[in-house]
Amino acid sequence: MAQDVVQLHRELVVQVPQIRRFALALSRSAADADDLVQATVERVLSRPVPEDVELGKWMVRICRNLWIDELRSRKVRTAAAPDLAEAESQASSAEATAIGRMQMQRAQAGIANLPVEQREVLALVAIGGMAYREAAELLAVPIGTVMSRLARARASLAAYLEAPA
Amino acid sequence: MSRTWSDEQLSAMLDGELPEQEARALRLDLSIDADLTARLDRLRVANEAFVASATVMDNRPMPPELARLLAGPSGTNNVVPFRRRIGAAIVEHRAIAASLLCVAALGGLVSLRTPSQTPAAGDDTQLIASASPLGRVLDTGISAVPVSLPSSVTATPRLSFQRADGRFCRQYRLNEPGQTTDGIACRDPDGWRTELLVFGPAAPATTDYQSASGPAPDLLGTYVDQQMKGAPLNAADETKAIANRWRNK
Repeated sequence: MAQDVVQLHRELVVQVPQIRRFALALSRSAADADDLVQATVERVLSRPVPEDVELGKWMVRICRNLWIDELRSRKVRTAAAPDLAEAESQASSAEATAIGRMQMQRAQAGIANLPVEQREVLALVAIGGMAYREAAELLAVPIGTVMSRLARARASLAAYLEAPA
Repeated sequence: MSRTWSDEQLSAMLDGELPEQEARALRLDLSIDADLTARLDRLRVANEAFVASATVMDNRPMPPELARLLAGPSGTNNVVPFRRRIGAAIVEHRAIAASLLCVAALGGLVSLRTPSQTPAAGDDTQLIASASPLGRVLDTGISAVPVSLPSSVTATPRLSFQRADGRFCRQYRLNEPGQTTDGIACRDPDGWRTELLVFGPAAPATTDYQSASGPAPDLLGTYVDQQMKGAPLNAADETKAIANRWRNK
């Protein structure tokens, strides 16, 4: 049993970077993202993990549900943007150069303007690694809805990236 | 003349979710329709921007409370923050990788998510281009033999192994002035993909967080323990894998 706990902690260490990205994509706030990740890890450690699930996707699912709870309990979204800007400023200047500072700013603006439903499904699929079927099940929507939200999110974001300076 | 494809279908193509028959038809149309290819590429770039925007978390130190949680009851997991202060060498590779992905997309063959994707491995920003200095070291370098790279960086492959899914992986170390970066990258058909990066070990005066149990991070060892099938490659097997360009067949 003790070995299982140690093993679980080791697996958590491997998963956490990805979950932190996912949480940021959802919450748009680095501080909120880390709060979400901490709550997610606490939840995983406090209850048995089903044997037939992938830990990473299980954590994505928990994290998303915690975020929904959080959204309902307080207006996270309104306070999110400044914090994200702060987090972004911590990225290395070399990385910013590589991606293109201007392009990154456009992307941030585009992401900030995505409807929550579109951003959520894009985070689940593009960062959380969920299959359409899994995302549809989690969101309780048809797969067609997942497809249309993804396409609209990407098209909308593309329009921001292409906007004249 | 190609048929009409919706953004939903193009988006599903990027995610590897288009039914095979449709995907085949779309690939065919992409090979003859530049406008269609541009539409697919446009969505792909937007997706990459979304994924890249979330990587700012990699530069943010892990909160001590979270690190303590991850350290476990016995404190055996030494936790260090995952940070991307990897220096010009890898950033340069990323830029090259991005341009290579564009080329792949123009061929209509790009898929952002594959059936074998693991949660930690699917991010295309983690692709190390084969033509980059680090990509070449991973392709052809012998374990324990350091190779000098630009910007005063030395890269040393340290261990080669095979995962249960057949992919070859290499643990490597980058030494640059004032910093050491350990990484694990696994070989995909399109190049080496970063699975894990650990920066440090942290100097005592740094603000980087480490658990109280000790300074030596063992995240790489944990990854190797979990993912490695059998024993690490010996010198002969590694030479053979290099000669076979790290193809698992």
